[in-house]
Amino acid sequence: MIELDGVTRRFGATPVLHGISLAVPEGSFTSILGPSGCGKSTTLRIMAGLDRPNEGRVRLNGADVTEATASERNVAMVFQSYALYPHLTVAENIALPLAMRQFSRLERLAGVGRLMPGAGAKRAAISARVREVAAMLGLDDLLERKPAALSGGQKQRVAVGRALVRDPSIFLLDEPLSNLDARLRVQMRAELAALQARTGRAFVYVTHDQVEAMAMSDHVVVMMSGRIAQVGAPRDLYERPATRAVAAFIGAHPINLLDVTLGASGACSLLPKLRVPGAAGARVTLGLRPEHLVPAAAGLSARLERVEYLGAEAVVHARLDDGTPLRALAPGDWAPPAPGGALSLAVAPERVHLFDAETGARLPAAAERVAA
Amino acid sequence: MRPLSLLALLLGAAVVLLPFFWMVSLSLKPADEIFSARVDLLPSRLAWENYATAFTEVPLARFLMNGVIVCGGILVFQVVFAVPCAYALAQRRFPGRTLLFGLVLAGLLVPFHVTAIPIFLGLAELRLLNTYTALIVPFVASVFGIFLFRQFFAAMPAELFEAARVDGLSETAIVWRIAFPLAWPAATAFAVFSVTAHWNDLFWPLIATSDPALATPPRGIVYFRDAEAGDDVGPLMAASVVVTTPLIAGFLLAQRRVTQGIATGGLKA
Amino acid sequence: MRLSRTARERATDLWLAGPATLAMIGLIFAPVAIVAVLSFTDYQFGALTFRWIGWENYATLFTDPIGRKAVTNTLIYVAVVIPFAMGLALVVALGLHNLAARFPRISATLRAAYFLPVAATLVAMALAWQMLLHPSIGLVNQTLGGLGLPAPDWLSDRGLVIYTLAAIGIWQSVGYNMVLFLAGLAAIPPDLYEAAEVDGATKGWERFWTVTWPMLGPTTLFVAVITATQAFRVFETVATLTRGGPAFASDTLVYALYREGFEYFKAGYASAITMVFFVVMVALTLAQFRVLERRVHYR
Repeated sequence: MIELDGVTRRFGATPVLHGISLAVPEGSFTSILGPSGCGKSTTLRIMAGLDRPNEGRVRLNGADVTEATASERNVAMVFQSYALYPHLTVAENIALPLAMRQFSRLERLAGVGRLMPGAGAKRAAISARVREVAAMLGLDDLLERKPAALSGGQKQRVAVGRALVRDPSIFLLDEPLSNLDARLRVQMRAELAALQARTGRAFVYVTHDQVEAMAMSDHVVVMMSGRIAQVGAPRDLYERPATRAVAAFIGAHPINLLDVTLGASGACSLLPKLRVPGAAGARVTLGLRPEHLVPAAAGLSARLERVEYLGAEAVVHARLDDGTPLRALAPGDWAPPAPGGALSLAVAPERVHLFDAETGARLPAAAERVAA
Repeated sequence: MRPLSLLALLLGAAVVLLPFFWMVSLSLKPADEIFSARVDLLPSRLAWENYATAFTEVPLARFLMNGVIVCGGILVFQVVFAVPCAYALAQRRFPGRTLLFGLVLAGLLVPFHVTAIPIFLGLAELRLLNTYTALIVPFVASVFGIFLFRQFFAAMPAELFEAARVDGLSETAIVWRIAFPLAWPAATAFAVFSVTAHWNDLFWPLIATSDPALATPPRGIVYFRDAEAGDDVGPLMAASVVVTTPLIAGFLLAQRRVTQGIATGGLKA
Repeated sequence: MRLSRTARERATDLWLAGPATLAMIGLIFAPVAIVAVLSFTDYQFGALTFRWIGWENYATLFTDPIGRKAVTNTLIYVAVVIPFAMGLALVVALGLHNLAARFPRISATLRAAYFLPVAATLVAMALAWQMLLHPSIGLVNQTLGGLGLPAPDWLSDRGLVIYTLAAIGIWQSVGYNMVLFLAGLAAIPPDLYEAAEVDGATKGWERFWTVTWPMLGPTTLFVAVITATQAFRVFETVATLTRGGPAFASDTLVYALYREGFEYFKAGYASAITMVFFVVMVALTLAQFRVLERRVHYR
């Protein structure tokens, strides 16, 4: 397992990480999710030893490795650009990390190595291990090729193979799927998750794509502007986002956020059934996910603007009577009224997320506050 | 218009090639034909004995070997010094990096001739004149090489080197196993210019050595010409042909790369 | 105790960049400083003492007839080589560029021929020139004599020798400049010629003046500076063919620096010559950087 303890990183005077503390448990698939520039890649690079914190400690399996370089830590990393060595064949690319760790300096010298006792056996062991990994990833027929002769998906596999070939304490993956086309990405997603289960090692997976993070991981760390916004299982993040920003980031369809002013005894004019703790005149933000806002006989009254038909479902763009735009989700077979026509959108009160309009922090779940 | 300009180009090329032609022609002419008053473009018979004489009259083979030793030694040391430094300048962050790169750029301003006197003084002080060391050491710090390799390394993605660090390579291993093999185009361009410059150089061998056994090819044929045997035009030209051939052959083989190298950067060694 | 990571990283940097830095200081910068200091002394190689003599060495170089000869000869040499080495190279490059469209094979072969002097060992080629220009057995004079023309003494005539050397210099640098011009020509977008044609520039000359010449501007400047730096360094031909003679008629700066320093062992005076040469080279190289930068901006 890897732990960060109060890690701060500044580039010049600009802080990019503000005292991050984080523990990735053994055997977990943990995603670090966040928009670009949130510090997620820096966090990963600090775990790898490629970057160093200005303050704070890094522990790997209990040992303090803050002062260790990347080559001194036993970590494996898959890069966004794959970073394959262009002058080496696939087999040599995969074998290099093993060779560097298993051979002594003398044995690595091409000519001398052959003559050293024991070197031959090591060499044979390495090549056997390379073939084993290649077979696992379906790279058998490509071992003698150079990276330039590989497709994007094949390069991706080689990069994974290079990480897999030795037995690192932890696997670090930096947006490894972002250069693949959509279909391949879905396929590799499943393969990576299966691979993680098979090795039983901790994977730390950095991505800006919340679908990837939700689909693959058992833990998600959401980072926003250099801080950890929330840590939890994918379901927690979706059902109980800790802040308005997290709520906006998680979910396939962007959440509707409506600022409202409370009436007497926490009444909300928009949703009469809802009771919110807070004085009259206080401002809160309502979070309504489109998928929880469905056309129904009764509910919020709105006017239809347009419909995006997606097959199984349709995204409904509407406006409330006061002009606030709203997205809702209707089943694919829903028969919409003509554009400009009136419709009602229903929402279950327990599905409403509440946030402090000032701080963006989550307020106790709406459902718990619904008046009997 | 067309045929006329083609004719002019052919004539121009003939003028450019004339010294080469005359050199080869003389090297194959028997002595009596060389000194005849008649103008004969071609020898009446091929006097290969001029070449045999060139190799026996002066230690021509020795000159060639010296050229190989000196050029090879210079090139190896230049690469060994320049490549790690260029890698550090391009892919590492350390205090003084900008200053060091400034030194490299400033060094580009200094032709070798300018440093000759103090280096001669230093070598004399160390009793190293008239040695291979004297012919090689002054050139080991190639700012041009550092600059060329740095530009090349700076254009490589940083992730490649980070991947190598994660894979357990030391920085030295990264330099020689990853960076240098990938800089092969820069290395060949640099090798061509370094070898050409030092194979052809007369200035420094003239200063640093007086022992014919250490003469590089140009220094060697100047010895030959200045010796009594220098009136032996045929063998002298034969020696000139022998000395010139390796580079000409190399150029004809690597023509594309050489001219591209010049065109892309106005390279100079 | 184990060093901190920062200390270890700095040690690595030192290991990587240190040797080259030391070599650079020891073999380039320290010598430049020493030359500058020596140029104000009357130091001689092997002498035990020296005197500070201020600017005297520099004054000698510019007032002494022999010193002045070296300066003026170098200037004449450069002034002859630059226009011819550039003009001929441009003409050849234009010809080969046009030829390449129809006969790429012939064009490539001719290009190699023109480039050959650049790759050849100059000292050996100087000897070939010496034979070619030999007063009695040289092909040139034999041909001139056969045509009933006067046969000058190319390398021993005081008025002629520096121009003869310049001609060899031109012969040697045309190929290099041609390659640079060819690259410049290849970089001109063909649609510019089409545009010029639409605008009425149909004849070859008109096209040259409206498109080719302006577009080659930066290349031309660059070639001029490169040619100048190379010409100022002239040494091999002088050392091989004339040794500055006859009567210093072909003495040049670098040859004078060699002769004064390493034949007469006047290190102080040779240092002053070196410094003059250095200042000229620095000025030219700085101009070259400027031009290179410009050349990049043009694209």
